[in-house]
Amino acid sequence: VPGAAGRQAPVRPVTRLRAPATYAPMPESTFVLTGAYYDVRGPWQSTLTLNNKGADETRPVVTLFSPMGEAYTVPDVVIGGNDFRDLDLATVVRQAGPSFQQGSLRVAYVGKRLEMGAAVVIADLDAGVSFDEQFTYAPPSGSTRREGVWWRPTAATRLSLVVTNRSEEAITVRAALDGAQPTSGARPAGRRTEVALGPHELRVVEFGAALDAVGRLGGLTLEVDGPPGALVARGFVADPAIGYSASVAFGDPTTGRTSTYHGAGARLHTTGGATTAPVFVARNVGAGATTVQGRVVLALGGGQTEVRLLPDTPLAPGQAAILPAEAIWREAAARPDVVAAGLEFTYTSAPGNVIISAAATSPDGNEVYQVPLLDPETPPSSTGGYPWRVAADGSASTVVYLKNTTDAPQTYLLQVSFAGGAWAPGLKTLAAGETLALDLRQVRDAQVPDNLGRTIPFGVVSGQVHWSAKSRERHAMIGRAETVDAAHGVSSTYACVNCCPDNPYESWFEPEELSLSVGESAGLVAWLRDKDCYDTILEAYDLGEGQLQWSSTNSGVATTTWSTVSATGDGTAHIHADYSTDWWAEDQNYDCEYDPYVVSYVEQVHVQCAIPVNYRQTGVTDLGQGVLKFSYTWDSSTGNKADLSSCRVGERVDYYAVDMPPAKPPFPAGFSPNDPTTADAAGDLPGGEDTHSTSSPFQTPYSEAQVRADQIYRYHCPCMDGDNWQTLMGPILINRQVTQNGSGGWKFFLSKSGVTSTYDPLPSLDWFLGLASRPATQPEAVRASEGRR
Amino acid sequence: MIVTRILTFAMVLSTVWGQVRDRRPDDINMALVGPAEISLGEPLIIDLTFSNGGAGPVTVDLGANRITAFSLTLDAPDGSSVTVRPPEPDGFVAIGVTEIAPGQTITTWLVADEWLSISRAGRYRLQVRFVGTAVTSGGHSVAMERATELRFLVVPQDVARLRSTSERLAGLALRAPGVTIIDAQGRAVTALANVRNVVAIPSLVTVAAANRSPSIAIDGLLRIGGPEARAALVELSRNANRDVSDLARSALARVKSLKGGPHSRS
Repeated sequence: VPGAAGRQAPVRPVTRLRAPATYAPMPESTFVLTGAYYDVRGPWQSTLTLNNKGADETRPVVTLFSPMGEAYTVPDVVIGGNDFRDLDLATVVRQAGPSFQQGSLRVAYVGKRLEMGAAVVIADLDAGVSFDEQFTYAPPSGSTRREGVWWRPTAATRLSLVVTNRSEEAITVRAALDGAQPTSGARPAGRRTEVALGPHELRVVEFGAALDAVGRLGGLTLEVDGPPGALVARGFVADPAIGYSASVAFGDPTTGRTSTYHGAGARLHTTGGATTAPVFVARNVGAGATTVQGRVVLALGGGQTEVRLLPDTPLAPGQAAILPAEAIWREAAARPDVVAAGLEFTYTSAPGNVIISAAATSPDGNEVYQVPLLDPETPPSSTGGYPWRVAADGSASTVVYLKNTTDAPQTYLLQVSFAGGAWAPGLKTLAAGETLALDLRQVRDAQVPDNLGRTIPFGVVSGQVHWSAKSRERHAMIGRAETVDAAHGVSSTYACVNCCPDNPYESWFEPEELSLSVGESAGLVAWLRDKDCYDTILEAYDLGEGQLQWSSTNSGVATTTWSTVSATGDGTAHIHADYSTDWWAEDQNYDCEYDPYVVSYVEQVHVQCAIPVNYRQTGVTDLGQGVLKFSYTWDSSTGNKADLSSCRVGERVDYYAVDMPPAKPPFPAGFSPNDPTTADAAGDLPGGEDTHSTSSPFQTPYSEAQVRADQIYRYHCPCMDGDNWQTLMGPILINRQVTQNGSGGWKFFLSKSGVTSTYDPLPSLDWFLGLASRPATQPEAVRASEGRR
Repeated sequence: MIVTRILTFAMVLSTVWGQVRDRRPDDINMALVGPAEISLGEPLIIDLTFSNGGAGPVTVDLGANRITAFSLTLDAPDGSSVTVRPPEPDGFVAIGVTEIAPGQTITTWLVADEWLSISRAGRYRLQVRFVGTAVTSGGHSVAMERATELRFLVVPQDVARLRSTSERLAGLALRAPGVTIIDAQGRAVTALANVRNVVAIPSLVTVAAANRSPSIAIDGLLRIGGPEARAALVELSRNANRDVSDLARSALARVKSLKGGPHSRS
């Protein structure tokens, strides 16, 4: 998962979003989850994981049932909000008594549907054998039939069936064992059994010699006399000699909605790097023939995928077969560019008529990575919430798999929470069919930054994963968490959906407000924070400009190109950005439904036309002989002089018509000012200087003469009055005058702004003729005699 | 007089002492960027960058309008050499004092044609020497390499090249100023006004009519002279912008003396 480093945490204030008027949250109820089996006898250890996805602490009632249906309630089970807890059942059994060394489990809680998840892992770590089971709710409807498919790698591999009655009524279960080929007529003894179960009783059925008769693969059919949801069943396939173990899940063939299965994540390699072997076993449980088609969707990263088709596999009614995938698997495993693989299976018969199990095994059979297959239309929402863990020594880690089950790109939000923090990479997209494999140990150890540049600290070893598709399609993605203990060669999978996708909770623009100068641009970031259906407030994420519809209330002041706001004129405008999403809620049937929902962002943009202000004289120097040099500076109305880069600051000098052209003599021959005279400089410069001189030499015979001019200092800026000149200072009289000095001679003076420079006396005719010395007041250099621009 | 000389000696001494004490040769680096080849009649634009590699800010004084603190020596193909120092301009000009932050680079510019005549084809060498001050915030002089040079080839007049240069400069003058070069707009207009060919007239008219330093553009028309420049001034004298029309009319009043450059006094 690529992260965007260096982002700052979002700023407040926020807009707390209101639920639609039609929204009525479902009241809390009591929900019951059941696990078919646990075992703490001999080498077996069983761990019950309780995952609380709710924001508040919960106190579930955990009950152990012995095989005879006796109940023991575990005292004081408390799980914090957004936390999980592992219960070592051996410890519990020591309190409950020896009759509870094996049995079934029930977890009851008060809350929202699916708010709590539970799973049990039964393991013999020394033998490298483990079985996992995700607890289920009793289905409200369906048939009394359950179908399973199994495969065993060796002749020594045994198959056990556990049937548990979770109801308060007595039931009878009839189990039938089949091989790969359809069974005609009645099954022989040993391949069929009938078990009577009182309330909460369980039986373990071992298929011994009968197994040898049916071969290496086949099916198990269960029929129940009793309520449809009363039976919980699980099969266990194991060969402790090689460390092989796999669970057999049972499904109701009448609840299928599509003739499709998807599997999120399939390991092409073991944790040690060896290429795995695919074991995809399909069984036709329908009355007619069918053909199974398989696809392995290879994720290449960056949204690129490649699809590999498995050869079609026809199946007669009752037939089971291994789907040929070895060649494709080997080729995919050899490619370094493949980052993940997903599985897709379709069959040509009616939904539910084919059941498939999928796993990838290590060459020695010790490591078995089962891939739960889901009819993509059956999960109630495209969401998930799982516990995750990394062993302190690094030997175990959780990998989160997400798979897009549609043929269009899907956007999702994922968050990894842990004590004291969270890692949230923001909105991400999966291409059609693409699978994401996120190894949380790698994310932690590589210090991969998230959307805000945060990483998972090295010391963190567990937490929760939350994800939710941002799609109107209720069945857009599936996911699961696979925890692999490489040291013991065991793995387990956990998949638990939430009641509904996340809803928007609060939103804000960053920055909170924009103040720009005309010509400037700035970017806006639309932040959104979601809340899940269990009231957990999630990490904020950047929506990205492409997700929103942008507009400006006044394009004369500010325009918007996606998230970039450009200031065009003086005033205030509001930038609107609308994010069209959905508001999800459960209806009375616990179906997740949506209402279109728009998150509206508004940003006030103040635009100032930056103009020069406070134009002022900062100094004046009398350079002698009628030359004055003034210094000026100015400020920007925005306080930032750089904002004046588009402006020009300068002067205009208009001479009095009655004084023009200058009388010569006495004015110097070279004194021929442009009328008007203009000059300008860039507005963002520190300041200006203005030197007033009159050329030289003055011409004799001297006489009374005057050249007057009005000077203004001014500016023009594109954002002000059509870029026309605006006066900053003036008019200021500049007076050049030749007059008698009262001593019988003549003088010249130049005055402006109350300052006068005098050239007194002007050189006499004798001086020009070389008959007299230079006047005492004559400066050594006459600046005005130098060349001028 | 003696007092003055003592003071001058003390100032020189303190400057030398300051240079020795603050001697960090890399603090300010001056570099020249210019064309390797121009056409006769094409302006020679010299961009000068000042980079502060030191730890503190340095204030440089580039002189009035950022030009008077430079000395230019042009060695012509015929072996002649001329050195000029831009004179103090009259009228309103920009202050050349600029502070350069640590790590910052500023770029100023000169259009050499304003003071130097490049009238024949061949290989030239232009030496540029910075004679202004560069001081730390503590007032100490910063040692730096003050001279740099450009060797360039002047090819015979290429009218097509002059036209495209004119159009490019007009485009630069009209669009929003860049931030990397000080007064980039003024640079473009000044250079355009030094294209010595009638092909520059449409561009000069465009720039003047757009009120982009029209006095400089009109000076350019006066430099070009001839009936085309006169017609351009007549056109500009009808411009709705009072400044532009006044400046054009004033230029037309002097058009009989189109030979020399205009004289600007205020």
